[in-house]
Amino acid sequence: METLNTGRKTKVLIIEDEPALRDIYSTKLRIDGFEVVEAADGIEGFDVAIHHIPDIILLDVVLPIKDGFEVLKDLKANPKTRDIPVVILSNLGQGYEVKRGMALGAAAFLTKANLTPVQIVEEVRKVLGKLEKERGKASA
Amino acid sequence: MDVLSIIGTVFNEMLIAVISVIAFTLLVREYMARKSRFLVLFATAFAIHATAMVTLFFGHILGAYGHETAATTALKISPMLISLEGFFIILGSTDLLAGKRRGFFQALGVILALLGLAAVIFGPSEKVIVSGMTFLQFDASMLTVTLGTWLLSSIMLIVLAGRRMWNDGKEKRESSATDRILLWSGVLGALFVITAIASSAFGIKFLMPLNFIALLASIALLMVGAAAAEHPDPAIRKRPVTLYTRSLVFKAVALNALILWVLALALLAITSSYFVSSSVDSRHSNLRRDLHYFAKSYSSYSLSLLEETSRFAALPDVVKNLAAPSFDLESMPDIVSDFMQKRRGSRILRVIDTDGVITYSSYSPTEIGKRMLSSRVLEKALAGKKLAAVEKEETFGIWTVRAGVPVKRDDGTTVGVILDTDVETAFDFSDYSSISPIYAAGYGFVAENGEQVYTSGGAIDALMRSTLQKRLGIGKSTDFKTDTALYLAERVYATDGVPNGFFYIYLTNEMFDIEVFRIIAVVTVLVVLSVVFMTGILLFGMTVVLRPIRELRLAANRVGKEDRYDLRVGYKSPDELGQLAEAFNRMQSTIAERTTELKEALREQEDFLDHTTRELRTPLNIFRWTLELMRFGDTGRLNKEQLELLEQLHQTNERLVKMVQNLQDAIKIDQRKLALRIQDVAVEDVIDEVAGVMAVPSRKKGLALHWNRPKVPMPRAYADRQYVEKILANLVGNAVKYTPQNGHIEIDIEETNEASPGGKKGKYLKVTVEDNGMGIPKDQVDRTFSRFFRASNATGGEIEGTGLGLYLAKQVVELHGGQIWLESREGVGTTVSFTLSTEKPSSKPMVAKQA
Repeated sequence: METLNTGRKTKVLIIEDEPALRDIYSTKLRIDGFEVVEAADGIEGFDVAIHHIPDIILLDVVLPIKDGFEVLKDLKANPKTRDIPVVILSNLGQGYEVKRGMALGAAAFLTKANLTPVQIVEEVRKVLGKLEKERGKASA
Repeated sequence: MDVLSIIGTVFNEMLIAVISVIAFTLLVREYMARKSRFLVLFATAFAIHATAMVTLFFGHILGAYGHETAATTALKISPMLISLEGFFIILGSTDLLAGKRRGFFQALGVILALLGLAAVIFGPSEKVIVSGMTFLQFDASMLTVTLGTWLLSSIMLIVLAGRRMWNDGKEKRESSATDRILLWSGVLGALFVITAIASSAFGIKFLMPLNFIALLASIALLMVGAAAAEHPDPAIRKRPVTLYTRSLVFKAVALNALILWVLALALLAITSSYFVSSSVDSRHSNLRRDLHYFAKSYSSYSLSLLEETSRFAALPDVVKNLAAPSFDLESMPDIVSDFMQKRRGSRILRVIDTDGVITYSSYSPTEIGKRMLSSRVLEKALAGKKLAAVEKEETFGIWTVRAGVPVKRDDGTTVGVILDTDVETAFDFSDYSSISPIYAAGYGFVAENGEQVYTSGGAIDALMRSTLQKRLGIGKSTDFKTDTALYLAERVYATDGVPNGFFYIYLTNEMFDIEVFRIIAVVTVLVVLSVVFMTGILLFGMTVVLRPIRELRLAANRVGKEDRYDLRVGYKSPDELGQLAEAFNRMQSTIAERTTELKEALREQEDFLDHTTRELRTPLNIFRWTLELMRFGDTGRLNKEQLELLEQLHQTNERLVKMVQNLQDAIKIDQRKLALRIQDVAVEDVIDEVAGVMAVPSRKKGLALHWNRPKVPMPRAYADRQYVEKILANLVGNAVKYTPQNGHIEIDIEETNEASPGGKKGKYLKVTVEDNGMGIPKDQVDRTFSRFFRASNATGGEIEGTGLGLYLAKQVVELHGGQIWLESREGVGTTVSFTLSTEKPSSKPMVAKQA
């Protein structure tokens, strides 16, 4: 079971417009002990993020109306969500696209096609671990 | 008489000389303006041509006045000059057209020129007189060598200009007009050489007019082609005639000069035939008169000889002595010997007795005792009658004037005869100036029996002698014309009235031709000089009269180029130009006023726009912040539909903000207030950013956006990063907007040495955005960068835009010292490129449009 220092389950928000992929990711994460909230598009994703305050967000980029970069920009602009690590999970992989994501403040930029759900969970853990270490350092 | 052909030749030579001088003057003027070496070379060629023509002309004149050596020299110098001229045309055309192979052609030119000079100096030539004009005729091969440089220069013009036209054709360019003109000049030049050889060396006379026309046209074309070649004004390169048609003075003077020349030609044709006929008539009548006087003087000489002899015969001593058995003149008294001594050596005095036997001879004592052979004068004298006539002197076998007088006693019986002969003086024409070799081809005396007695310059044949004799049978004198000459003849009589023979003079037609030429040459020189003089006066007058036009043109040009609406033309006169100048000045005032008003109105409008956009910022920000509050859930949770509407509103608002920013930039640029913050910018990073922003929109549209980032870092550009981003965002945004689904967009960057193709040199970065979108219609490409431009295939459709983006991009790029340009084909795609300098600028701040 995946928990935080507070003892509650780690909450992951998946923003992905492809239902099948969303299902696979959430199932795998739940099995591994995460609490999962889902959103099917950018607008919903941002809404969920500000009301649920997840511990980490998996964010697709190509989304209808409000795309992933827009969501990321808004997340980083809103003090409530500013510190939530965002892992971009996208099929975009051109250099300038990765740079754009990182410039907007993403914690990692993962390419969907290259990674199995297992590897994605590992990446999520890696990001969380790194974050915890940094926070520990900061509080110490 | 071949008056027209003489006028044709002389006038042509003068005309070509004058046109060569004009060509020389115009090319020198052109050279003064732009200092291209080939202009001087061609000008020199024309100067030489004019000299050659004048030399040729004076060669004819010298020939006509009998200065053989001078004429030959002049006639040799002329083709030498022509050879030299060809050499200068070769130099000029290689300089203009040949490029790298110049040296080869010029060396060939030198060789041909030397050969040509040698051919004239050492080659065989023959002096011929055609229609009274002296020419030097070379055989075909010598003439070809002499005209070798000309032929080579013509061939070179054809080949070199032709090669350039061929290359233009291969590269699908329109060939240059000057090349075409030079090519034709070469063709006509070659035609001139060929017809010259054919007509002069092979005597194909009907080619002469063609020869002249070819030369004239070749010179005229060469003049225009050379003067317009590489001219800085593209309008002149396109239409070389503009060089001359653009000047009103030139046109007016040219028209007048043309009329003068035509008049001169007509005048020459009319007056010279009049002068010619009167001169020939007077020459004829002078000769006729002289011949008549000569015949008369002959008669009076015969009479005086007879008179002298009679007085001698009447002396009492002579009579007494003759009656004695032997005649002894020496024993006679002084008076007789005085008489004898007074006689010249050419006189022979003989005393003959009644039996016809010589009893005394002043020529030789050996004649004494001999019988005098038959002589009409002797027979008459023996019969008691005096007579003087032309007779053959047997002792010398020559024809002489002889006087015979009977010596009579007081009772009237004849005791003997005195025969007095002058063997020399009778036929001497030398006192008569009109009968000189220049004017008469030959003259002489023919005895009654048809024997040619005395001749000078050339005898006449037996047929002509008998013809003249027959004609003289009708009258005392006759004029007789044949195909080749004019004959004048006058009958002379013995003192008893019996025909004795005739004097004749003849003139060949050639002499008449030369006379005609002399007259025409003089008239031509006068006419040409007066036409040139009048043209000069015209040119001067026209320049003075039309000076205000020049002033008006200069003023109008400056107004057009420099927007100087304060300029006024100072010419004041009630004439048309004065009115025009006044109208111009009035117009200027009106324009100046209107411009001020317009600028004022425009400034007010801009101020208003500036103010409005400023005012717009606050409400837009209020929108933005309010929307953010709602979007970020600070005003309570909204349902999905509300959130979607809110998102649309937010995106629209952001677009509006951007549009207002663009508008403000445009106003700043127009008011020259846009200040750039120049720093060194890694343009690749800016492209990264812009491509990142455009990534999702292009993905959503199914476009492949390739940004070919170089592996090695490019030099940094000196620019305002914010504006570079704006430029790029606009270009890539346009590409995404105007490229349909599944299209592709490429962004490239490279270093370059010029601000734009063929533009300012320097170190630059060139960014290119290429798409395979809808493109811009060909007729609109030029306007793409103008304010509010939107291509016709983009308006009215579903694609939005204000048309301000590219205008701003251009202004900003140029403000940076770079260039922006665009290639587009409708339905194929568009490529936009711009450059930014990588050289550190001077500290001067960059502000839009330096005033």
